[in-house]
Parts: sequence; C-alpha cells; structure tokens
Amino acid sequence: MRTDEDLMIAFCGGDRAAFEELFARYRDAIWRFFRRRVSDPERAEELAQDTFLGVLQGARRYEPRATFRSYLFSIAFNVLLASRRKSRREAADELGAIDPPAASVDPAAVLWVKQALAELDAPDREVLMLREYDALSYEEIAVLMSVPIGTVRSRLFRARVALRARLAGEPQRQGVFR
Amino acid sequence: MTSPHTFDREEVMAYLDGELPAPQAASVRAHLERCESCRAFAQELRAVSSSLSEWQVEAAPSVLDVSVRSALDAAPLAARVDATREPRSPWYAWFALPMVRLAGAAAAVVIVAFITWRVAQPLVEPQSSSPAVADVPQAAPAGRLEAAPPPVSALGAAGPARELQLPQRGQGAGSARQDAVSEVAVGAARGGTTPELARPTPIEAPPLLTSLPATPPPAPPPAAAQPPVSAAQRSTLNAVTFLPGVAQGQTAAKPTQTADARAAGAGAGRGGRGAGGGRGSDATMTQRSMNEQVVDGVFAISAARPVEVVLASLPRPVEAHSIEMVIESNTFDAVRPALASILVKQKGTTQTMTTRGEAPDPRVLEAQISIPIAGIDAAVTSLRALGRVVRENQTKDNLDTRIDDLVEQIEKATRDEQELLNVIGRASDPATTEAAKQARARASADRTRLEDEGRRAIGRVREVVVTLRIEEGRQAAR
Repeated sequence: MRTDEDLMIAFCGGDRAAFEELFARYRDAIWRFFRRRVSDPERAEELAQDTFLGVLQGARRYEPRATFRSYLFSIAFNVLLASRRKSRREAADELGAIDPPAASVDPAAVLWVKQALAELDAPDREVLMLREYDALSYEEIAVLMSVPIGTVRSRLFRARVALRARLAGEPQRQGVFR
Repeated sequence: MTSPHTFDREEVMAYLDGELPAPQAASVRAHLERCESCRAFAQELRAVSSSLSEWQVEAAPSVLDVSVRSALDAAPLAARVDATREPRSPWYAWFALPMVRLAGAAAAVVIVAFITWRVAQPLVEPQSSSPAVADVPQAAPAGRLEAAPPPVSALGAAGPARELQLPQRGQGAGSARQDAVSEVAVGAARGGTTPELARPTPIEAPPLLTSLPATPPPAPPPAAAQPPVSAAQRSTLNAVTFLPGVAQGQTAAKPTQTADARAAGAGAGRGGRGAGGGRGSDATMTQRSMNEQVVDGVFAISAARPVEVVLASLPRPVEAHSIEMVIESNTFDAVRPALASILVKQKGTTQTMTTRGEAPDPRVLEAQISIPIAGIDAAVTSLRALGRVVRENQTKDNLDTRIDDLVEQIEKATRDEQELLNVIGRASDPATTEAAKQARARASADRTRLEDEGRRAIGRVREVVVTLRIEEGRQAAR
C-alpha cells in the first residue's frame, strides 16, 4: 500500500486519484475532528471541506518534511482556530468549542463526557482531545500547538487526572505529583 | 505488594500512551508489576480513556464528498500548470530579462508594502476587521462560494491563479469560510512546505488567552520597602523589577549588562521601534505594563500571522526573564506536592525534576519549571514559602537585537524561497529545475530553522524559566 506521503507527492505531480485515496483515508478522521469541536454539523462539514481545500491549495508547495497526517491536522487546526476567531468576532462563542450538553439527544455517558470536557481548561482539553480522539502523538500535538513536549505531557496528565477524579466522584486533587 | 515510587505518575501515563523510549518503558512496566498503587492508577487512566470513547459521532455526510470532489475538479494541479509553460534556457538567464526584473521589483514593492501594513496593525485586532479579511480581495459573489486566492504577498508571481469553486452555503457561513480558507492559504502559500507545521506558534493563542487573569497582578512593593542591598544586588534588582523584592540575606547574581544599558542599546534598533526602558521604580511599572502587552500581543496572534510579523510587533524592549532559587526546607516531603500545587495554580509546566539522596542524608530536589509571566509573582511568593531562601537570582536578557536579526533573516529567506519557486515554475530543463529545487530546499530549511528560533524567543517572553534547587535542612534530615 502506498504511504500517505507517496500519495501526496503523486497528487502534487498531477495524480488526481492519489488525492482521492488520501481523501478516502482521512475523510472520517477530519470530519470527527470538527464534529466534536463544533456544535453545528453543517458548519463542521464546511470546515472539513475547507481543510481539504487547504490541502489542494498547498499542493504546489508541499514537501514531505513531516507525516502527511501531521500536515493535514495542522491545516484542520488552523481552520478551526480561524473559525473560532470569526465566531468570537460575531459574539457567537461556542462554549469553549464543545457541544453544549443536550440531555434529550445524548445518552448519559456521552453527556457526562461532554460536561467533563467542558469543565477542563481550554488548553488541557485541546491536548486531551487531540490525543484521545484524534490519536496524535505527543510530538505531533507539540508541533501542532507549538509548545514543548513536556508541556503537552503536563497538560494531558492534568486533564486526565481531573477526569479521573470526576469519574471517581471525588473532588479534584490540587496536586499533580504525589 | 507495593514498592517505592521511582517514577512520576506522568511517566506511567506516558508509558500507557506508548510514548516512552524502550528502556524507560521496560522500567515502568517492571514497576507496574510490583506496585499495586501505580497499577491501580494505570487502570484508572484506562478507565478515563474508556469513558471518553463513549462519545462517538455520526458518519461524515455525503455532501462532504461532493463538495471536496468539486473543489478537486477546479484545482489547478501542478503538472497541468507546468506543462503549459514554454521551454526556456538556463534558469539564471531568466533573471536577466528586463520584464522579469521589472516584475520582480514590483513584487518586492508589494511584499514590502504588505509587510509594512501588517506590522502597522494593532496587536489586538479590532472587532470589525482582521488581516485575514483584508487579505481576501473581494467577498464572494452571491450564489457562489469561492475560496479566495492567496494574497499577493504570498503568491508573488507564482503562476496563474484559478479560483476553487465550492458548492454554495448560506451567505453568513460563506463569509466565515472565506476567512478560514484564506488564512490557511496564507500559511500554505507563504510557508511552502508543510506550512502549518512550520508556523503554528499562533495556534496556541486563543485557548491560553482565556487562562490569563482579567486584571494585572498586583504591583511590586515601592522601592522604600526593599531591604538594603549592595550595588551589585541593586543592579540585578533593577533588571528584574517586575518581580517582588528579594528577601534579606539573599544574594543576587551580577547581570552581564544592566537593564538601562540594554534598553539604551535597544533604542537604536531597527525601525525605531520601542522607546527603550525607563529607570528605577518608574521603569518597574513601564516594564511591567510592556510585559503584559507582550503577553497579550503574543496571544492575540492570528493563525495567518507569520512569525516574523509577530516578532516585529513585540513592544520594545523585548526581554526574557529567568530565576534561580536555592531553598532549604525542613519539610522536604511536603515540597513536591506543594510544588505541584503551585504549577497547577499558576498554569506552569515542568521541564525537568529529579530528587537525589536518601534519608538520613539530606535530600535535594532539582527542577526546572516554566511559569506564565502573568502568574510569576504569585509563583515566586509561593516558592519562597517552601523554606528558607538561601539564594535567589533574577535575571533578564534583552532580545531586541536577536529579534531584529531574526526578522531580517526570515524575511530574506522567505524572499529567496519565493524567487526560487518562481524559477522552478519557469525552468525548462531538468538540471536547472533540480539546481533550483536544491537551492530552494536550503532556503526553506533556513527559514524553518529561523522561524523555530523565533517561536522559541516568543516562548521565552511569554514564560519565566525558574531553576530550583531545594535542599533538605540538616536538622530535618536527622
């Protein structure tokens, strides 16, 4: 099977089928990335579309210096941030970029997850979601968010400890190290 | 059965994530087999992940396929564009053409004008407009949603522009999307290769902004409240007046250059940006205010804002602060939890942390931590409460000159890269193309390296590095 990077290089050379293969591989991942961060599904679809449009526009200058996966999620992250800025300008914030809990639609477990995530600090939540849902490595998250790997680890740990405390029904611990 | 904790719980987490090198992973695995407590912790972390996985989302809508394929149909593929170009002789001869020179000069003027305009923008962008919006030539006509072509400064003469036409959405959404796409396009076009990876410093901005206190931290005590200090100590104190005063009996390292001298030097920096620092306690407030501006400015970066523009926008003087503390504690066992609490409270991060020695000998904890500048005052106060402060040095480095150099070098590397890209687009023979590609790869690598350095510089302004050494008091050790 051809690697993502091979496909992207082939696409840069004019191979349309290569892009379609890449799209097929990442279509769902990018959709899920936005769907969990944007409450309106139509808008999530638009942002996913914009991400692939970003790949198309950047193809002429693409060089495989990092994995295509990192490259793609970087574009998605930029698209998301641009969208959030736009939302803020229009005073239509998205409750910290997490779907507002909707008890009538979501099962209790999902509701619990959304509420727990919404209570985390935004940077901690973002790192946690990138790791848990988008399966990015610490290094990929560090590059994406432009922070040291140690910071990624600290934030991830803080977020997980907070969720662990919530899961156990105990008050959140103040200390990280014990 | 339990065993002594030789690992941070963070390491247990990293092990579960498969993020530890093999030898370290083997050690943690062995520890987990022996340590019931850590095993239980690992199980709890797995339970957290399992709980999170409850949130599944529906399948992607089919309209996504349609819209992306429509965009693909409209995309100008590289091969098609290049095939339409007429053959030319050696690539360097291309520069000799008068029209090309003229076009190059015109492009340079546009680039300089664009950069100047961007630098002139306020750090916190007004609500009514944004650079991203300004980069888009015109709003999309009704009935179509068209992705804006990359801005002139980004494209230069990089070939024919074709608009990517996408299926229509609501007008409001279209506007939002236009911003998003154009901002990505800026990164993609300017950065060349893996652009979003190469310039994501601003990405962090929005979430961190929310963690900053709404009001500035309390002002440092007036000069009269400071304990008597030597001339050398005064020199250091002047250099770090954003922090609370150093307690009596502490020593202070002599800075390599005083703040005043550095500020005077910065005043001669490029473009006359920044007025230099003040003196004495007045300088305290001025510097404090500027530091906060820096923080706000850095956090207000948009994803489309290149690193060099952000660097050039930093209020002068740009300074990086660091602190070194040696503390003697008679309650050594309580130090680590207290330190963790400080980090959590002030949103700090740990770079390194090690503990040496075993009772009854005095133990030593050495750590390097980073604290966001907004929380450094409170953090230092809390750190001092960990025990008796044996030594505390507060220093700062002026980054003005380095930042000026970086801005200049990044701009040059970007120009080089763009020019070589144009050469590649017009080259006809393989040897020329290959030579130009190699040259461009070098320019691109230079730019990436410089941008990384620029981001690190921004990080140094944003956070204070605290080097800690906490020694167990001999009395406590006995």
